[in-house]
Amino acid sequence: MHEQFLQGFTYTDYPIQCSFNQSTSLKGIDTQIIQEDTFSSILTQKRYKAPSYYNISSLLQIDTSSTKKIIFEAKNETSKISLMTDKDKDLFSEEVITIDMVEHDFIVKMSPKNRYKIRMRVKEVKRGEPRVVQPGEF
Amino acid sequence: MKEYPWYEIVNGKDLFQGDIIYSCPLILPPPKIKDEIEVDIIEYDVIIMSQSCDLIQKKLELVLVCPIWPLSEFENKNPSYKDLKRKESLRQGYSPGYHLLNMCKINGFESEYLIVDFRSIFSVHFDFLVEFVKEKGDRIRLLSPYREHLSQAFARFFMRVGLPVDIPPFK
Repeated sequence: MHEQFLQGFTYTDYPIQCSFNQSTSLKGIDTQIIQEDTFSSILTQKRYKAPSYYNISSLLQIDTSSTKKIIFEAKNETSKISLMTDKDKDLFSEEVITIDMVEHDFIVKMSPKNRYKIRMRVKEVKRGEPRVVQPGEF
Repeated sequence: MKEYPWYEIVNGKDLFQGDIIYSCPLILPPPKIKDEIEVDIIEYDVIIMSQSCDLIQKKLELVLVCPIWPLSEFENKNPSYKDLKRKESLRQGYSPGYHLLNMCKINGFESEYLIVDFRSIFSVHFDFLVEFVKEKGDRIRLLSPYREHLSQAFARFFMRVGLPVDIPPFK
């Protein structure tokens, strides 16, 4: 019974994995409580033999809308990974990329767009003083 | 579904985090200061990294900026980034020193994907930058929440800790 409602969905295309427990919706929680109470009362009645989970759930009206799979839609071009094939997902999996980036922390030295020299006359050299900033409202 | 644009056009002297300033001159001081010195001026396209609230309230004398490059230039400089896997690592935030920004499709300000380099941080005098942007006219501003995402990526890069003796990898 619990498996049906505690079935988590993990969005794997994000460095920090987030779990969405679908039973946290009020409707889902209510359904779960009602089911638990019903099962409990049926199983504690001596005249009933404990039937299998499958048989009991077929007797109950269960709203499964809260257990449907969440679909994340790609909105822009920087998040097309959800549209990738399984083969691509293997290639770009977090594990593969993380290992690769840890092994090769690439640093790219980029040149400035323009570079020139100017001559300056130093007017004064003085010791810097702390700049006091009062906290204020944004 | 509501659109969340990445950029908008702004002008004027109000600076915000995420403002993109093209060909911003940066002064490199010489190793020794004498009465008369020769300084190098380098120009980068930069993005403002200082917090908007500090900028609005003029609580800063120096504004932090980081250089940005089009992804294609970045790839040409290091061809390993032509590899899709490497680019994907940029997109997913696994290259801590760099941050990928979306392409801009605003008329007159079109750009491809941009790379922000967190390893090269410059500070520009606030008054100079205000005058400079006023002269330049319109500029592009990175919008929320992409601006905060950039700031978070910068913080993640900056707060890294290298251990003198690390735990050996599990094999």
